[in-house]
Amino acid sequence: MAEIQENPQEGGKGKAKKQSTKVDLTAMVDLAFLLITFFMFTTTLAKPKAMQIALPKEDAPEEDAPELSKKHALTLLLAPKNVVLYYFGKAEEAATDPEAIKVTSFDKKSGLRKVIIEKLKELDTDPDRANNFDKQGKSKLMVMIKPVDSSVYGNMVNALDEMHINKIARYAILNISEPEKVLVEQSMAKAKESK
Amino acid sequence: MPKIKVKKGSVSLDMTAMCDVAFLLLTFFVLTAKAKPMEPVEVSTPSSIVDLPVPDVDVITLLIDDKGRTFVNLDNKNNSRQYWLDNMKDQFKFSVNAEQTKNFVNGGPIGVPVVNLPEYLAADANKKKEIEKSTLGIPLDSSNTDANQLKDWIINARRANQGAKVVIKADQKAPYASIKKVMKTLQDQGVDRFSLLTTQGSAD
Repeated sequence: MAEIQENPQEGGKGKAKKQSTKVDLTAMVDLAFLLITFFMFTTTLAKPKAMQIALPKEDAPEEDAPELSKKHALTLLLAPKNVVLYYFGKAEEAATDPEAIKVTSFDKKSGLRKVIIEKLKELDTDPDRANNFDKQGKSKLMVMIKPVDSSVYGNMVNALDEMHINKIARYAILNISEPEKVLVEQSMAKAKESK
Repeated sequence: MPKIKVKKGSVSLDMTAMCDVAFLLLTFFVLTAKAKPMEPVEVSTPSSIVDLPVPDVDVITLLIDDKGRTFVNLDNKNNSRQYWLDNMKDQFKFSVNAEQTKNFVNGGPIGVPVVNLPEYLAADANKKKEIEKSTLGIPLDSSNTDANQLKDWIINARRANQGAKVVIKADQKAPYASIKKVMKTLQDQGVDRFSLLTTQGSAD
């Protein structure tokens, strides 16, 4: 008799248990996203990269410098305000010829890269081509990068980056000479006038 | 009109899947997270296409901010910062107590003249920030060799960790004049090869 009385009571308890299986996860999700946001802001996903550079030995005598043909020399003068002056060949000759100094920028399409690509093309189509490339097929173009004191570090890295992009094997960062400083100042003054 | 009767759906959404995704992302970020190293100045490095990774240890980092102030750092592998400080103490004849030494060994980049170093190491967090804001960086007057303290910091760092490589971490707006001075200082001690720290960018 007692068994018959218990049966309906057990059935009622079972129904109550079934209703409470779901847990409200909203608060947990809130917390999880909060933590995600925190970790996203504190992590540095992009690891810094390093550009290797080698400076010429300070005490190396001048005569040791490899003979540089006029055709293979390109000098970049990095001026302030992202301006680049460049000339081909020797400094003494460029100084006397105002047409030899040209102005460009770091623009990715029309700037320094175009200058280098055109020069490489010129060397490539030259009748004396064999003389312009070494045995590994690298061009003999030597780029001399000369930043003025008032230019910024970012420009120097940009110029070095162009060397990497165009696969120029021979380049150097050199100190700017006095006549070249004058050239930069002149061009800055000219740019001011034209404004 | 039984057709128009709106179904009384449950208001609560099933959060299980969302919770799963959230925790998956959270786990990913926790595992990849590496706290940003404490640096006294904010430096935004220029971008380049090179993709050589920078080593975490055995590096002397020269930090140059957009005003051209220079800071120097050495990682503390094999307690090399302790030797670094000892070498500097011997050379410049200053003394620091145990607390200051501990601050130095566990600390980050140094950007104060040696004269002010004990004061800087004794300072609390707020004072430290103030000093870092007002300091002119490590003196590196190239015209007067005695005043070039960066040279001494680097020499002693290389004594403390002989395999250390030099990395320049400069802001893209840093004036070239101060970069030139730093490079000259390195070259004077025969460090011809060093790395410039950049963030990775694309060619176009």
